Amino acid sequence: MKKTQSKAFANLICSLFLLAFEVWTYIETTGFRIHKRAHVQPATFPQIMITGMFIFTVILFVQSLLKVTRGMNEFDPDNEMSASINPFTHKGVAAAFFVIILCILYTYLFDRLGYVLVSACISIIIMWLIGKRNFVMMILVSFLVPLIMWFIFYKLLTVNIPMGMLQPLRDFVDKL
Amino acid sequence: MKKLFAVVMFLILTLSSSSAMAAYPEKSLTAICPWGAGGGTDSCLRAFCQALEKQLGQTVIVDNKTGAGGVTGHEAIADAEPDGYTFGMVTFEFVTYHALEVSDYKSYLNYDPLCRLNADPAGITVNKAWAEKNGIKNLKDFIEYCKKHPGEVRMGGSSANSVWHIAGGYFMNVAGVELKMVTYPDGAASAVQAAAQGVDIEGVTVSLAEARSFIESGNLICLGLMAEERINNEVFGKIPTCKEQGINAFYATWRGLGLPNGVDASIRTKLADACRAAVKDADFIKYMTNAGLGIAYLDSAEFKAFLEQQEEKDVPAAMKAAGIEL
Amino acid sequence: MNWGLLFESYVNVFTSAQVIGMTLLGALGGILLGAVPGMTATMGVALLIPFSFGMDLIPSIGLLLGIYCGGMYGGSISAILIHAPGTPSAAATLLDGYPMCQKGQAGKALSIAMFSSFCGGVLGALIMTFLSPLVAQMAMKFTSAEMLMLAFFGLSVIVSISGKSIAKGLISAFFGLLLATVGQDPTYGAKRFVFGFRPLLSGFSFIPTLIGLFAIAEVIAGVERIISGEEKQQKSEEKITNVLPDFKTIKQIWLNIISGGIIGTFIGAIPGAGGDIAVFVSYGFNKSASKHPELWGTGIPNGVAATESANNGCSGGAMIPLLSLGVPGDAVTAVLLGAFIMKGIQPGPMMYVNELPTVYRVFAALMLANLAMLIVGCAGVRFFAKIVSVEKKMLYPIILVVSLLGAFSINKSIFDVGVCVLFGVIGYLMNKYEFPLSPILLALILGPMCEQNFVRFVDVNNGNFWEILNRPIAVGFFVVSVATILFSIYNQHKINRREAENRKKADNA
Repeated sequence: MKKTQSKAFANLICSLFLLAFEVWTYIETTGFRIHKRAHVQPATFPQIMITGMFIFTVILFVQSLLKVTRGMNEFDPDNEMSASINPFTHKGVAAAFFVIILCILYTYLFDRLGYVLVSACISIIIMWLIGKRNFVMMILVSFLVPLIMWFIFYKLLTVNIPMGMLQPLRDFVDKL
Repeated sequence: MKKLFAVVMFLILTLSSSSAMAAYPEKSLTAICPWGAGGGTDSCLRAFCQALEKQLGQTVIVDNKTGAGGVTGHEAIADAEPDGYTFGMVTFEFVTYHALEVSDYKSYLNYDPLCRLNADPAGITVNKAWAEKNGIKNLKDFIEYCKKHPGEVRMGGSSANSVWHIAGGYFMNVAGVELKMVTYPDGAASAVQAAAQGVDIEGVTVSLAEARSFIESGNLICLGLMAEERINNEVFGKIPTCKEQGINAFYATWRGLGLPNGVDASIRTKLADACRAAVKDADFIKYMTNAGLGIAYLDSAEFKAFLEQQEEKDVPAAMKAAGIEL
Repeated sequence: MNWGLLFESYVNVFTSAQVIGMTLLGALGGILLGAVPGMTATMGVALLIPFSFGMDLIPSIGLLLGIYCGGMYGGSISAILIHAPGTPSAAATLLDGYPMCQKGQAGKALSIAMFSSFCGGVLGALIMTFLSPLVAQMAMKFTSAEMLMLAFFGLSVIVSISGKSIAKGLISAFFGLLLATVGQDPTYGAKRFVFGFRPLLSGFSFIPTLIGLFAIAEVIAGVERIISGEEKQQKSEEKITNVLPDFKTIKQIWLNIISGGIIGTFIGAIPGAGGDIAVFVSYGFNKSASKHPELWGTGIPNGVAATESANNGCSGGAMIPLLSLGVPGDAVTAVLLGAFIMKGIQPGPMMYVNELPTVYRVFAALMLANLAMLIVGCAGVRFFAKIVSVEKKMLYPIILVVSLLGAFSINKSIFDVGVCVLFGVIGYLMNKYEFPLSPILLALILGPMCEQNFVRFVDVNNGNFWEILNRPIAVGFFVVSVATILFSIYNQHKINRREAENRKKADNA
């Protein structure tokens, strides 16, 4: 295993990302409104938190830098192979990314198509993706679960959930 | 499977469209509540909806659209389909949003006010032990004390920019005193508790219903109620108004109903009439009395004028006095 | 204490078929509501209030308390089975509950959770019955200084839930505290990290964030495991012969249950601090006091017992300020306050004078609610444990759509669904690179409490923070917190050393 594949190296990269994040958020806080009569400004508390995060990121950075440059003993847990997020070398990661994209689409379509339809679609796609091939079962479960959930929320908890094209179903249930 | 689905859909569609010509209301209504389930506004709306259902003969579903300090729900009312099937409850915070730059909508322009249901006056309530120590027996003593110690008397409102926070600013304007307003983001109940403890703050500017348990137990004493008349019940009847003591302070939180602009006139009239009748419903009155909420009905035109007065004049001045930077 | 009246009230409540029926119904509803991520006991109680309008006071309070207690236990079911705490108060249960489930001990974990919930609840109810005035006096001592230090004390637990790397745990914690500041600042209403995006004004909603970090992240990781062939179907051979834990297990966990119950009751009794804080404090305390802290987090019964007894103890605790001060201790009791007022009863100091029989009946009803939760829970354990044996390929999509609906239903906002997905991704990445998730959660709960009370304390003392030295309780909390932090760091070193030794041994063998 190469050094760049160890957990220590991954930690090093993480801490660099975090440092960038901290600098960015700190710059953001300087733009917060200043309240004349206040003893503690709205920006103060976030700034303390960013500073705290910064201190421990630096610690993590130094720790991992030392481990990467000086080498580690073989029992160090940071000497193990790090997890990967490269979708081109790991098909599992590619699938995870695909699910994430589906979830974003889901959010986008939630009130356009309605809960039941998008949920059924996403369920069927994911089931197919992870290797379920019993189509009758897939369609049945995918439609029934959101339908039952919707019914419980709507009828028992009187929570109104967007139904999109299935809106007439709500009027139908009202009539019963 | 697909065919079956299509057939079912067709049946449902025809069933629901066949009665489209029937008189309003022919399906269930939705009432948007901008505040969380179980809170004061939500319970009030739910109690009202039960009364409204009797008038309309249809179910009314309360839809809690919360978030962003009530802005989300209030905007959802303005943005709703103007078919008369969606209305919502609007509360005091509504007239502050435009000034605070959290919403583009103005209360009396972008909404169609339907009616006002309730109003609860604010009171100047202080810690009894503190008052006794400083020889404060009534509102006059309190104002005198505040004038001697400007900015030292600490009063709790509810959360930042909320109705009770602004109430403090209003009182400062009217009485010509300077108070230090302390915010309690968890709500009025925690402010009231803090006032009863008397360590962090000396008093509160919330409604009597919020402070009731500690007024009854004698930890807090209400010096003046910002209303025209005393409240007619055994617990609060003894509490004097500010007016009686020579301070013309009138300030209350209120709750009303609003529609999106552009609802058909005949539907609107029907709904407004149903609301007027529902306010007189015995169960609703009983609920409001038990909850310590005052019914203060205003019809659509009066409510609209009231909103304009609040949004353009009263509230901005009070907010400025409360130290809210706009 | 009026013993005769107390006894009479108990008899009255425990012999009324209507009260028993309503409480059982409430417990059933509460467990089911609690078990679905995003549906909380608060929601159940709020929605049933109009329904209980036509009932007498005690049956309707029984119904609501049934939901309250049931919901507290119900949250642990999904935490144990699908790594998604059903309610925020169950967030610490998954630390040990989910690993137990992965070891094929789902049924055992559920029965321990139920038994501990019951014991914690009973302990809370007992403390409430006998020590109410005392505890209420204590709660009245908590002003902004004490609340600030209580929040700090809560945060001191973070070290012991950080896992292997304390630095990573604290980065997570500060990240969580930073996330908690998004939106309008609580004191002045100034916009922070809003970027002109209005839905962010009230910050990230807690429950969608929670569901995202745990449930959605777990689904994403689960899909990855299945595709790369690492996922094993969980063993479902576990025979559940007894729905209650056996004597040997009880002997092992009884100390955790008692300490958890007491911690839960006292934290619950402080208005503004609830079950979500209590569970972490109890977990941290019990882990530190344990002889084998290295086993915590690997799926031991003690972890489940310590958290579940704490959150049900909380329900008794939260009732104390509600009844004796008229100040609700958490969201559910805030709704209960409305229920009392609606019946024309104003909780508060005068209630103990004017309405003593009602107060005693509420005590009895809480005891009954805990019993009802146990009965319904016993009947349900076998059924719930079956969820694990559902094929993973079906289970993951179902968890996904149910969780996202839960995220939506809290505020009826699409934005919250987006928040949930966003935190799903963040949680997935954090898990991959071994940043612990629980500190974020604790920070999200305690961050606002910490900031509000800090700002308020400085404000009411005109900028003089050192005034806090005049508050003995606050200073006491501070000292205990520092001691906790130091001790947990020492403990973590011990754990890491032992693990390194174990690795060497394994390697040599």
